Amino acid sequence: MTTDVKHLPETKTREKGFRTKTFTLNMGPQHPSTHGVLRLLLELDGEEVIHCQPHVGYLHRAMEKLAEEKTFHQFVPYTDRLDYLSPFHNNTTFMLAVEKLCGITAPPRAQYIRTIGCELARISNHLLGIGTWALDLGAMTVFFLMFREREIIYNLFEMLTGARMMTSFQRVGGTAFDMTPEIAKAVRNFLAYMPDKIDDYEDLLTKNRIWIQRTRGIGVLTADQAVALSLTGPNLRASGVNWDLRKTMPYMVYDKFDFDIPLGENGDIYDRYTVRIEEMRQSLRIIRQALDGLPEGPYQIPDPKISLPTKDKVYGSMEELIHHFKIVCEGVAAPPGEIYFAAENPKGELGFYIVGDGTSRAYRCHIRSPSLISLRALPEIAEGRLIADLVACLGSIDIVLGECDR
Amino acid sequence: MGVWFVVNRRRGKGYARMGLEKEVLSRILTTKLDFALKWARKNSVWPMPMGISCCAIEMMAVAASRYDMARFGAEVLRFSPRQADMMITAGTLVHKMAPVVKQIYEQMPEPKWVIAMGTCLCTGGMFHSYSTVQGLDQVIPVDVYVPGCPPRPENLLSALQHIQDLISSDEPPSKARSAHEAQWELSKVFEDKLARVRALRQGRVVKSAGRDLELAETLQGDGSLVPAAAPVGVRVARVKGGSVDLAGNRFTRDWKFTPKDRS
Repeated sequence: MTTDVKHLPETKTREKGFRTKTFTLNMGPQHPSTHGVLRLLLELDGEEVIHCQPHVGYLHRAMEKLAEEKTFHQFVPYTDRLDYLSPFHNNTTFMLAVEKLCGITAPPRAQYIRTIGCELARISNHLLGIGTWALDLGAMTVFFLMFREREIIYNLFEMLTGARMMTSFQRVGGTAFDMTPEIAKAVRNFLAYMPDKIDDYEDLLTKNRIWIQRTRGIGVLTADQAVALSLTGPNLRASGVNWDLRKTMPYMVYDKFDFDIPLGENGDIYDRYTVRIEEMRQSLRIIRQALDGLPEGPYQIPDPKISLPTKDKVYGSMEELIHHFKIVCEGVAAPPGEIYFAAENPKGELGFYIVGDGTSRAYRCHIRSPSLISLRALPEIAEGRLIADLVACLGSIDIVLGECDR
Repeated sequence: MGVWFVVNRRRGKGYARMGLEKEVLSRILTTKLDFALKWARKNSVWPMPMGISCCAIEMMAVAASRYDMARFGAEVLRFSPRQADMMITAGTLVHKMAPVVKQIYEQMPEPKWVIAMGTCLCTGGMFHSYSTVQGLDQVIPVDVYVPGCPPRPENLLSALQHIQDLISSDEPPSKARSAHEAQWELSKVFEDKLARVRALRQGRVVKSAGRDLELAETLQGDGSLVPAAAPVGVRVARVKGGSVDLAGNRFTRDWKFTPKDRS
C-alpha cells in the first residue's frame, strides 16, 4: 500500500525538461494546521516541499527563568501550561523530579492516584492529538466524538482536582487531595464506557480508505533514524523501537502493572496513529489495575516538615502552626545537588534537570521537552513530499508549542 | 416560516379598505433597517479563532460537542481574518507574536470585535516574564475581557453574549479603541526594536492612569480622530530608566506621573 514519492506529477514535469522556479511560503504562525503558533518556512517547487525550516519561539514564556524565582510548589501551575493537553502528567513528572532531589518518596496511595491521573491524561492527550490531526485531514466527525470523551475526562479531573484542565494537583510528598470512593466509581464508569468509543474511532479511521491513503507509507522514519533524532514516546515506538520509560526505567508503581507497549512496523504516520489508539487501550488497563490495587493509607508523607498539617492540628497546636507557616512562606527546602528525572509523558520523554542550592527554589531548571525534539523530525519526513502531506506529518508527530517553546 | 422584514413600509389606504391589513401584519414584522441589520449581525457572528496557547483548547471545547457555540449562531469558525468579524484571542501573547496578532486584527474587515480570553491576555497573568506582553490591550483594542486560567467554556459563551449585546446596542466605536490605536502610532516613532517593545509596555501605565488619557489626537463625537488644536503638554511614554517623548528623545524626570499633572 505504500506510495512512492519519486513519481509524483510535479517531478515528472521536471524530468521532461521544464525548469520551474521555487518559491518560499510562510506557513504560520497563525495557521489552523500548525497546532499553535508554529511557523514553517517552506521552499516549494510547485506543491512539493523542497526545504522545510520550523521557526519556534512564538510562545516563549520564559518558563525556565520563572522556575528559578518560584518555589517548587509555586512552579507546579507553570508545569500545567507546558504541555496543556496533559497537565496532570506534567505536574507529576515535575514533582517526581523534586522528590528525587529531596530524596523522598510519596506514599503508595499517592503513587496510585498519580498513576490513575497520568493515564487519564494520556488518553485525553491522544484524543486531542488524533482528533485535531484527523480534522486537518478532513475527518471532522472524529474530532467531535473525541471531544465528547475528553469532556468526560475533564469531569473526572474536576472531581479529583477541582479544575477541568489545569490541575496543579501534585505537592512535594503526595497529592493535594485524596481520591474518594465516589471518584473511583466515576472512573470505573468511564472504564466501562470508553472501550466501545475507541472502537468507534477505529471504525471511522482505521479502515477508512481516505485515511489510509493519506497516511500509509508517508513520513516514514526507520528505527535508526528515529533513534538518531532522539525521538521518544509514540513517535519512536511507531518506528518499532521498544523504548517506554514505564517499562525500561519504571518509576512510581508502573512495575506492578501488567500492560503492553504497542509498537509500529513501518514507522509511517499510519503507525503513529495505531500506536496511539492502542496506547489508550493499555492506559485503560493500567487504570483498572490501579483502581483495583488502590491501597489504603495517607496520600501525603505524614511529616510536618514536608506536608501541610490538617486544620484541626494547626488550630490546636503551636508547633503545627509554625510548620504550616514555614511550609506556606518558605516552601519545602531541597538539599544542594543536581538531578535529572524523566518520565514517559504522552508526547515522549519529559525530563527535568534541577539544580538545587539548599533552598526551596531551583537554582537552575532545564526542561527537556519532547515536542521540541519531535519537531526536529518534521523536516526529515516532510521534505520531498507534497504540502498536503506536510500537514499530515505535522499532525502525526503530535507537538504542542507551549512545551516546545517553554 | 421565517420572519420577513419590511423596511419603510408605507401604509396605503387600500390595505385597510380591502381588509388585508390584519392579514399582512400577522405575517410581516415592520422594523428599522438599522435594527434588522444589527439583529442579523448579532446572530451570525463569524469568529476568528486566534488560538495561541492553553486557552485555545478550551476555545475548541466551546466549538465542540458539549458546549456547541452553534447555539449562539457563531459556529462558522473562519481561520482567515478577512472572513471574520470577531476575534477570539486565546492564550499567552509574547513579544514575538504580538505584531502577528496586530496584523491579523488589521486584516479583519470593519466592524470587528475582540475577545481577550484568559488572564494572560487581560493582564499578563502568571507570566510576569521578560518575553510576555502584559495584556492584549497593549497591542489591539479589546471589547470583552474573560479572566480565568483558562476560563471555563461557559465564561467564553458569556463573553460571546456580551459581544452580541455590544453589537445590538447603539454604542459607537469605543473611546478606548481609538486611544489604543493612537498608542500604537506612538510606538511607531521609535526606531529601534527595544524602544518599541518598551513603548508597547507603556500602555500599562496609561491603563492604570485611566482610559481617558490625553493624547496627541482628540476624539470627536462621531468617533473620528483629529489632531489637537494646541499642545496639551509633553507626550511621554514611560520606559525603564527614564522616559521618551514623541520624537524619541530620552529624558529623565523626577516628578511622579499623576492624573493631576496631565491636566
